[in-house]
Parts: sequence; structure tokens; C-alpha cells
Amino acid sequence: MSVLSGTMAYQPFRITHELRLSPEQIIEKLRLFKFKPLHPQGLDNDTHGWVSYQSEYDHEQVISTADCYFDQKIILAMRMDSLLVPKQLLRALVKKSLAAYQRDQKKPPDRVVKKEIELAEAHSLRSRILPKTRIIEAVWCLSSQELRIFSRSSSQVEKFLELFQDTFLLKPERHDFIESSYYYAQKHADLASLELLSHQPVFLPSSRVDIQ
Amino acid sequence: MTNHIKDIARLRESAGFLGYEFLTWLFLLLDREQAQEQVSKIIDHELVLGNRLVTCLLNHKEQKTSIVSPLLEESHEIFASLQSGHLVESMAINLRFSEINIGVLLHAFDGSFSQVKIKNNYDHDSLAEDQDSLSEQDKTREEIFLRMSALEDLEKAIDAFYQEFVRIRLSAAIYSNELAQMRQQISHRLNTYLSSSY
Repeated sequence: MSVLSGTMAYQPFRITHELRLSPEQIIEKLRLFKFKPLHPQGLDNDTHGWVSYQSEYDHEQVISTADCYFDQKIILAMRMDSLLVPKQLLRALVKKSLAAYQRDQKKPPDRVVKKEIELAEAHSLRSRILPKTRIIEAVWCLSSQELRIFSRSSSQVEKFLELFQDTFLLKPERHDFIESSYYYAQKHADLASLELLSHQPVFLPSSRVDIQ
Repeated sequence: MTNHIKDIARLRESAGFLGYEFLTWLFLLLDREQAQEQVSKIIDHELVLGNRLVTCLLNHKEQKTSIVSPLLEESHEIFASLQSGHLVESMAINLRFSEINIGVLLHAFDGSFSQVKIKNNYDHDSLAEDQDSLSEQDKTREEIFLRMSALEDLEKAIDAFYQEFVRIRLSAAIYSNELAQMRQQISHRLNTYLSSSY
């Protein structure tokens, strides 16, 4: 799902902090938390960071204002790469290597050797797997300080918000029905009534609940 | 953490039912015969029901009724589920204004929007001929601007309805009358289906 896809899904947020960043300051901060790909010989299985909008798969592309800033709106693109080593395949490879060791050395491998073989196989398998890439886009409207994150996956949104906070030191607030109720009640000096509200069912649920 | 953030976090714990109550109220409002008259008192655009709705029990959210129908208001399953204590969990609506139709699935739980489709979708092909001279960058700029404007209008419309709901909800007397009207509407709809089926 992205800003320009035919069907969109998003969650609205608001930035209520008084600090206002200019587009140039935002781009500068994005560059500090730019996406770095997983190293084939590395140990990490996950990485995420900012990429240039519409050049998400070219991590070497410099993030520039011209690519991300459109009429008071910054398009943020976060790239998440993750590697998933297939456990059953790894188990089979380790078993095969352990058998080869026993055959060559004429003795069963001890605990240290087993660990070394497991690590070597995991490392070798990891270097042959391509990471799964996901792109999460968001539109940050600088005039209204609204942030729309184009994903409904709670884990992806959480990751995005985490990176957003680390990058800009700003915490977006979820703009949902509860938040709207709060500001409405505050505006009409009726916060006490809101806090005392309890659910009033239209009809009471029947006492029998089917448990399957 | 400032006080208002703490207050909102506390409210999320204690008043999570508001989104569900709102969508139920909105569905019944849009189902009424004089719906568009009432809609026009709140927003300048036309708001109609879409073709998808899910209801659930507030305390047993796994107990769901899911209805997909080109005419939601003609589906007696919705009214039957409401009468058995369900509330609306997600609902498709269409907002129409000046040759643009925005279809969206609203979610009670987190106020998020999914399946958002903007008809006259502002893709490159639909841009007017006089825009052909624009560069790719300017076309993208134009598309983003138009799409975000449509989303802002959508959110403003939903906010307007929600504010009306909260106004009613915060007054015990007004909401009590509203609840009576909602119960009557559900019972009436179910009776109509039953009598027409014989």
C-alpha cells in the first residue's frame, strides 16, 4: 500500500509538539537515519531506515528535498529488510555436516564442534538468502502537522513510529475517535462528562455465547 | 508526558467503546429514510452506505457477523445482529462530492481507514490534456496534492459526524432519546423483513 496505489489504507496521526522543522531540516535528519542494507557476511537479520521516495530500492540514492517535498508535504519512505533463515533446511544441513564430521574424524562431534558447525551452516545459508523488503510510506503535512502512515499493520506502524521518534525526536499522537472526543469535550468544557461515560448498549447481548 | 497525553491514554482504556457506538449510530443514521436530509445538516457532501459491514460483540470481539451486500440497508442480518447486542466494528461508506467518489472502510477500533478508493483516481491517464506538458515530477506533485486533498475532505466529513455523535453522547437525556429511536428503528426494520417474508 502506498500513497499512489489504487487502494490505500492508512492510520492518521498528529504531531502536537510546538517545534516546527523546515523541509531542509527534515531531509537532513532523514539522511542521518538512512537505510543501510544487510551485509551478506553480517549477523543481523533485520534492518530498517529511510530511503528516497520513489527510489526505495536504490539505497545509494541520496535523499533530497526535490524527491520528497511536495507542496508543504513530505513523503517519508521507510524500508524494512528482513532475512528469515528456513529452520528446517538449516537443521537438515547441520545434520548432514555432523554426519560428515563423524565420518571424517571417526568420532562424534563434541558440544563445541556442534555449535561451530551450526554457526557455519547458518552463516553460509544466510549469505544465500535474499532479504524480504517492505516499504512503508507516510505523508507529513507540514502546515497542519498531520501524519498519515500508509499501513494498518500494527507492527509496521510501531516500527515506523519508533524510527520517526529516533529521527526527529517527536512523538506523533494517534488521531482516533478517542482523541477527537477528548478535544471536543475539552473545547466544550465537558471533560468530566466524557470521563464518566460508560457503554450503553443499543440491545443487550443474549446471555448465551457460543464457544466453539 | 504532558497531562493531555496521559488523559487520552486513560480514555483509550476506559472509553474504547465510543468508536463502536459511533459506527452503529452512523449506520442507523444513514439507513433512515430521510438520511440525506440529516447528512446535509452536518456536511455539504453526500454520504451513503457502502457494501461491507462487520458487527461484533463488544466483550467478545471474535463473535462477528460479516455482511457484504450491494445494498447494506436491505440486509436483515445486520439488524438481527444489532438486536442480539452486536455493535458495528467496521463499515464501508461512500463520500461523494463534485464528481469525486471516495469509498472507504472505517474501523471502530483505531479510527483507521482501509480500502480507500478515490474514483476519478487522479492517475496519470486521467489528468487533463493540458497537463501533458508537465514533467513526471510535477505530475506526481499534482497527484499527491489531489489525493491528499480528497483524504483531508474525507477526514473532515467523518470528524463532523463524530463531533455530532459526541455532542449527542455527552448529554444523557439526548442520548437516551437517540437510543430509544435506534431500538425502534432496528425492531421496525426486522418486523418489516419478517412480514415481507410471509
